[in-house]
Amino acid sequence: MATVTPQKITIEPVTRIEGHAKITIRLNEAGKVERAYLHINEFRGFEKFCEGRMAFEMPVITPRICGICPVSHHLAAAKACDDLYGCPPPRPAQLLRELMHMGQVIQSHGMHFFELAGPDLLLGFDADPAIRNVVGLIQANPDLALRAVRLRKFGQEIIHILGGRRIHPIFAVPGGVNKALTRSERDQILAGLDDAIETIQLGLKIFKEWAEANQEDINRFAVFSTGYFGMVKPGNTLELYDGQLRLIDANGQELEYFDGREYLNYIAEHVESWSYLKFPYYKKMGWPAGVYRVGPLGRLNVADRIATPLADAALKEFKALNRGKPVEQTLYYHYARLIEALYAAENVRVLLDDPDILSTDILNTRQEIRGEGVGVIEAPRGTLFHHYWAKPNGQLERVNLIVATGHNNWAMSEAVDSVAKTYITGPEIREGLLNRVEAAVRAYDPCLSCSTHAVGQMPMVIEILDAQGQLRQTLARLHE
Amino acid sequence: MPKVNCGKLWLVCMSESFACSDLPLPSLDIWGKEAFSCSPRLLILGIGNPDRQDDGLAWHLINRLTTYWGYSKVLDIGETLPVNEGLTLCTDLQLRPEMAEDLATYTHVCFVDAHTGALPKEICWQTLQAGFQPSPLSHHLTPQSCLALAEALYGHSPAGFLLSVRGYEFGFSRQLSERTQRLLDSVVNPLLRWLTPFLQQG
Repeated sequence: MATVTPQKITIEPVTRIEGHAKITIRLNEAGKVERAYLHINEFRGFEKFCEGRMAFEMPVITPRICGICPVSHHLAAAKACDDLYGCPPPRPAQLLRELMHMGQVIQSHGMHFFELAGPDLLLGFDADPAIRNVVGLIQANPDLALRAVRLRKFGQEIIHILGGRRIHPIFAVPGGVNKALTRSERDQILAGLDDAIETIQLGLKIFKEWAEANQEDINRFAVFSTGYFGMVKPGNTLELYDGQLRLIDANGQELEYFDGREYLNYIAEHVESWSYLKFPYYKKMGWPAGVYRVGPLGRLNVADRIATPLADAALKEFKALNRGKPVEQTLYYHYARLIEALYAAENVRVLLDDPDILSTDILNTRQEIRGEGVGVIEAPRGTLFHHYWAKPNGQLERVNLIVATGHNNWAMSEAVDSVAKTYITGPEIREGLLNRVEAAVRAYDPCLSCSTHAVGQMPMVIEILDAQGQLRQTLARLHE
Repeated sequence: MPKVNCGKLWLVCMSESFACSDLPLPSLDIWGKEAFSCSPRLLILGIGNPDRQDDGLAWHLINRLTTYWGYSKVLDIGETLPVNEGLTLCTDLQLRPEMAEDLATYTHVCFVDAHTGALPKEICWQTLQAGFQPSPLSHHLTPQSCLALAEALYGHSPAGFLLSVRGYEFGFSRQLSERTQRLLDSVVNPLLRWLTPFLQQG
């Protein structure tokens, strides 16, 4: 819902499970945008909550952070525990974890493209808001809508088969997984795979057609330079489950290539008074020069190839957009997301065809506690770090989580500011213009992850700004 | 695709009498025999995170119902319990688009959730009309949006109701705040009475 006053526009959705975000657009006397902000009122009390718990509980506890990407937290926690307990999983367990992760990527990316981005792309940013939504999309293209639902269900079904449930799976444990895959379960997943790949390819076709017709919009919608960050395997091959981390600059030059355990040597977090969510950046370049982007766009920019043929061919087309240099256009996050979904679906077949996938050698029970463990995974939205410090008995003394949405915090805010300044140029503010500002955030598919709808229960700060953007007064309250 | 129409009549009755009212819950005489002639099926869908204190109100409420009916196992998040042919219980962290397919197989759906100060009453009943409510920045789906998806995708939207109870504290705990616990206690028996017609089936 948007309210418009002469000098300030506030877009404040009532969110439920993913936390709270607010966009404030400050207009000057002439009605031009002075500055726009994305405020994220996330409360990161979860790390404190975990202290004192036993480390082996973390794969069960941390998915409760959020219902949107529980699998990512589940697997990152298990990986951190592998490291902490000194118990690398056997290969079949790694394959099974990766398979679950692919299910998560397919369902998450599928939902985002068809249900969140789709209405803007297929019906238009300026379409009547009464129909510019997923129901309008269903009415416009019911076959596509049903395909989109099936795609998400396919991803969810992989998670369900492996984890016994679609959310809060109990599957990965320190040293492996607690359930092997049966032949019939493998065949059940394979049965839905061709349809899933077809749907993703259809999505890619739709996006490319849209991009061709909307090149002007793409090239002025939140286009800016940053570094890019993501996981790769040797040969800079796109990797989502386990690999090294690669950071490149805005020109595509490699800045760092490192093991996830060393992340504190490279990443620091900046704090701004107008957002509860911290702003990670590349330490050596400092703030704000060291800002970078993660997620689909970041990952495809740091990767040189993809291990599966259809996605690799799509990556080549993607790379051609900016002649091999990093792709900077925010709206291409949608394109990158679909290419990753295609990779994830193709990779499901690779994993299911691996002879080890049906092995029952799924758990390493050796334990040699190291006192510290780091788990890194490429969640659908970007790189997710879990870092645990524990006593010799495995009781946690300290926990640090850096979530994907945090890495993109600066970029989302910059995108909001950029889009507001580009599209809101006069006193008359149409709904479609505000929708573009919101779409700038949606492109990053943020997950604000506080798992509650406690409006008014978390610290609330109201900032009053003058026409020059100067802070005149701050009001803070803890409860309604 | 399931096509069920009989729930609509009942929805009209509910809308007239009990839109957003406090307890007592809707009187039983509105459950007309005409509606039952086509085997109504009610889903009670509790939404919320039990690890975030009062946000998990619905999970606590649903497990109070299962305990009352003699089920020893706690219904975990994401699990479904068919009590009989006419009544099913389910809890989940949040509403998701693919739920529309399941919703479309019911004649009635009662969403249970916690609310904050945005609603004036501590216990609130609402009849729902299917209609998509966009959430500009996130994946949040409302009950009304879920019903709209069921209608658009599967041709049937069940009669929808929302029972919401005020939450006061949302920390990292599985224990409800005292105030919300009292509200939960007060809503259990009326809800059980309200469900009696469905319990008498099967």
